[in-house]
Amino acid sequence: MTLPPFLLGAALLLWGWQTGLPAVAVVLAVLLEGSRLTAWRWDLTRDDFQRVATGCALLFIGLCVYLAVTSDASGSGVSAATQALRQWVPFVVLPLVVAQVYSTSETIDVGALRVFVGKKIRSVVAPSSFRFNLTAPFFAICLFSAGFTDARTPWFYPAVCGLIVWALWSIRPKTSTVALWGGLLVSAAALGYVGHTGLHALRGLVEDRVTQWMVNVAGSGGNPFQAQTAIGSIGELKQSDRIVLRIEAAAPVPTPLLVRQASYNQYQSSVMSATPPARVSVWLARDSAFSDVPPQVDGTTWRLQSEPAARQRVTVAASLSNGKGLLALPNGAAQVEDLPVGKMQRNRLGAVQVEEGPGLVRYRVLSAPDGSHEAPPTAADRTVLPNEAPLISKIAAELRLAAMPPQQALRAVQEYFQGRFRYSTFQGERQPGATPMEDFFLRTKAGHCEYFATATVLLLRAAGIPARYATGYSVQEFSRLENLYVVRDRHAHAWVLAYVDGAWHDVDTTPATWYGVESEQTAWWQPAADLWSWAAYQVLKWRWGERSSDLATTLLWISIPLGLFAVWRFVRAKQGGRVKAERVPAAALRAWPGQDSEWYALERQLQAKGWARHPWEPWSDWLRRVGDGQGVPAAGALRHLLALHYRYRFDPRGLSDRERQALKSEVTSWSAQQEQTRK
Amino acid sequence: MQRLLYYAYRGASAFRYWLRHRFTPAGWVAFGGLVASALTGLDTSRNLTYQTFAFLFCLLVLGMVSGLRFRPCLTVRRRLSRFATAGEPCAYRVTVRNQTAALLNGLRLREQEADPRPTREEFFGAAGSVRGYARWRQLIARHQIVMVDEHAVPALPPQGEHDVPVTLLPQRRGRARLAGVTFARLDPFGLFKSFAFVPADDSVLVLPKRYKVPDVSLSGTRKYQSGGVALASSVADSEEFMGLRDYRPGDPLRHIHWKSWAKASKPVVKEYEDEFFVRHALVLDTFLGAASEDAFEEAVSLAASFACSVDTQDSLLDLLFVENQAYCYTAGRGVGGVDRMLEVLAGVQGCRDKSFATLRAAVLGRQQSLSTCICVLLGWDEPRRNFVGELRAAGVQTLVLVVSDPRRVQAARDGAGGGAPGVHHLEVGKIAEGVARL
Repeated sequence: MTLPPFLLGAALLLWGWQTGLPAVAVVLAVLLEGSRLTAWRWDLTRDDFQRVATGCALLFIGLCVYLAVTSDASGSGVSAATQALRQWVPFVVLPLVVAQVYSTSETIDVGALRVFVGKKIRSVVAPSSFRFNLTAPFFAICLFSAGFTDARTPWFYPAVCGLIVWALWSIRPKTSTVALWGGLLVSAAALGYVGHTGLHALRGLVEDRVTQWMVNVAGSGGNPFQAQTAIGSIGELKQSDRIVLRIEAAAPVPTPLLVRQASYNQYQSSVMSATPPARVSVWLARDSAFSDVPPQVDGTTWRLQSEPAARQRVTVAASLSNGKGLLALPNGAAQVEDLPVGKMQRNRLGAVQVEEGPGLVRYRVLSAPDGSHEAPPTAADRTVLPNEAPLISKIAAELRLAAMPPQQALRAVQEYFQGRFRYSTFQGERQPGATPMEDFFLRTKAGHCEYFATATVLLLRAAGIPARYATGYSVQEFSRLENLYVVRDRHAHAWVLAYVDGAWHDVDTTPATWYGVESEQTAWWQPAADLWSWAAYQVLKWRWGERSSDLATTLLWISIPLGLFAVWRFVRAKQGGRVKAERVPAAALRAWPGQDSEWYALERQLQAKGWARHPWEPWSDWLRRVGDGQGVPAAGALRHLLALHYRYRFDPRGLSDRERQALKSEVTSWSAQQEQTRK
Repeated sequence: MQRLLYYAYRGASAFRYWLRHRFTPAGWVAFGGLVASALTGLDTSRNLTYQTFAFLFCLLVLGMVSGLRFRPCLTVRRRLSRFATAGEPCAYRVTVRNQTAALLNGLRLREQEADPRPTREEFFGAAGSVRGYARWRQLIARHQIVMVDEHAVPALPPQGEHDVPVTLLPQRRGRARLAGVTFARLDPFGLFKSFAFVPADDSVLVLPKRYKVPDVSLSGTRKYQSGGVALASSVADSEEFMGLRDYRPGDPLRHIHWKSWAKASKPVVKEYEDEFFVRHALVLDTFLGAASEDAFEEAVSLAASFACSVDTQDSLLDLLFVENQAYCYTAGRGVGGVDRMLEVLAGVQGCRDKSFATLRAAVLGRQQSLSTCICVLLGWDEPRRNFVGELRAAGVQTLVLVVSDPRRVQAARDGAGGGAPGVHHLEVGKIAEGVARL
């Protein structure tokens, strides 16, 4: 399939216009279409094409590396880099297309696309029988890449339609009338317009639904608005050993250090969850809309409290999914430094979420261990659910919490849980009719951290102390391999924020044995997995580190001379193979005696009516056949004309003027007569 | 599970066929663009490829819909020869007749081979090292005896007909069954083809590919042929009459001279002059074992090449091989033609359930009458070496050609007896070169 002239250039211009590289596109278009203006061609072999294809593959790899190391500096995520990669695909394929259009060959052996094959193997691989013209796929690639842009111009669709129609015009079957062809194309364009508008609207609708669904199914720590707990669930609670956070501290920190991701203020038991359909207990964050946190002048420092009086400084390393996530922060976090994200938001319950960040962040947190002084309690922080209230009030009365000062009440609650309850990740069948909390308080007296945290919140609230349910991680494990604290998925924890003496303090009533119980789940291959995790972390640190932008620039500057050197080597090696295409003038090809004979038009006319001549059939036989068997009118008269044509064509003396005129006029009159008969 | 797998493969093959034949090259580009834009254009808020997808989708659907009315009324008649040769184009003509009162133009003709997809039993019962979809493709390729291409049909006038030159390219030996002719017409955009099938059963026997074999010196001595040419072929009776003698037990019944018996009152038989002539054997090893199907096909081609090159004017040529039993076909001295032998070779199949001993017994049983023997073997292991040794020990001049896969040929050369005189190792893919060095 050969494209019409200048279509490829137009497609490149569309690509350049859409991707913001019009100057590059103009140069490339001139380079490609310029082949029509010059007769010089390279005599390229299959091996040469294979070398160029290898160069394209290297270019692609280089582009991937470049985008990988520069995406951090630009602040865009993986998807942005992928988007950019798709935009640059025409640039990657271009050397191969240029090689084809400037070569003596109009097609490429598909075997030449087997890149990275050595000379020894190339010599034994037989040429493939399948050859193809690369310009048509390249045209499609240009249109494809032009679509990868955020710029929502209304002209993109008409432009794409126009280019495709241009390409289709050149291959329009002769049996397709212009009216039918045009009518169907207009219909296709109109339907396509309706279709793509509908697709866009449908996608918005689906996204809304999926977002809602994701909010419903998101587990604790991942959703700042709602934490679905395992309270009431039956069976063993299992979590993985995957390392999710790494924490470095300049000075030793008291362990366990609790790093919070979110806190919640409203408890609901026996809520119906969608996936899987079951009754679960959830903690909700009421009245907790997020507001933006402005960055400081350097763009990577974020102040969470107006007057930070921090004394503790830790560095947290965490990965962000698609550049988004909730930050894990110690209680009383006042300032976050060295965090290259585009946007930070926080809610009044202390959850901090970031967007437009790199895949891995390593941020320093300055915090005040004496608690958080912001966001004073509201009525929601004092409310106990009506169905739990009788039991909670009864236990609070037994402990005489109401009569105690807050600090003493805190200690009493901690002693209550430490002495009479035990930690367990297994929950059996619940007593019929009892709420999970009733079962926990009165029968099992065992549960995991979510039970203890929820029960503590409810007891403290019954004692008049505002309390919240907090989720995050407990930092306890020091890794000698990495010389820092590692936090695993199974270190996910729930505890309580109690408002005492004008500040929110961490209160953890889960028996200290929980860490040992969780550690028992460690797999025997964990050291190897940790080693692998450490190696991956080192790569990620390099990948997302500060020096990446410098490295990208260095790579770019190194690759330019290397690329130029490769091109120079190729051109030099092929200097002997450059040939001037022997272009025989078109007029010379067509010039033969009798070329303008009207007989040819007459034959075409008969052929269109179904009286086609076989390729092997002389004209005289053909006339005899169609005249005798198939009823061509006045076939006898045609034989006379054929005799004149033969003389005009082959007789060295040619026809006299009178005979020439006779041939012309008789063919014309015969044709006209046929047209009349037809009407 | 097997049933599900089988129908999944059938469906995949049908889809592949549909993609390959229904779209024009421009249609492939459009379809590729459609798939690529569908896969990458899901996020309509971040890119515009979904707009390209919508337009291409409408184009292709409209093109397909516009071809639904394509129902030409045509008849076809082939002028096809009975035989073709693998690797050699086979040209013939198809007469297409337009049965309608309308002019038909823009048609393309394509011969339709019978469905090459294997049956369930064939697929799961087939032996070989390759499994899964690769095996499926291998079986399909084995069933596709000929390659067909599209040919333009000139405009067909109402009730008119036209001869269309068609060329088949036989890929491998065997019987190619042509189920009918498919007529294709392009949609108005030139992207998609509408098909109309006209049934027309026919077949052509594709003979094995043949190599140019140099004159091989097969000078073996003439041997006594018990029963003469008549028994050599089981047909014809061209021996020379010498005289009459008394009947001896074991004489054939048809040699009895009934008139003399009537006169002498005792059985008298006609005595013929003993037949001494050169008799060659062409032994084809069909025991696949570790050998590949490619090696077997090359061995058959070699056997066919020798069958054509051995002079059968003054000598006999026996083709010996084993399929479900040992077979022997004889040609020469007017007994049978080489063309018949080629037909046999066109249909010979590999053998997996018998051992080489079957062939050995069949050949050695005839060693008394054999002058020379051409052995086309698929390996050079101990049973084959012993077989050749026994033949030579019996005074039969033997030419041995061992066909091996490229990765095994060196091992065969270096193995025991690999360099013995009269033993030639030929590599699959380089058979012509190897034969030229004989």
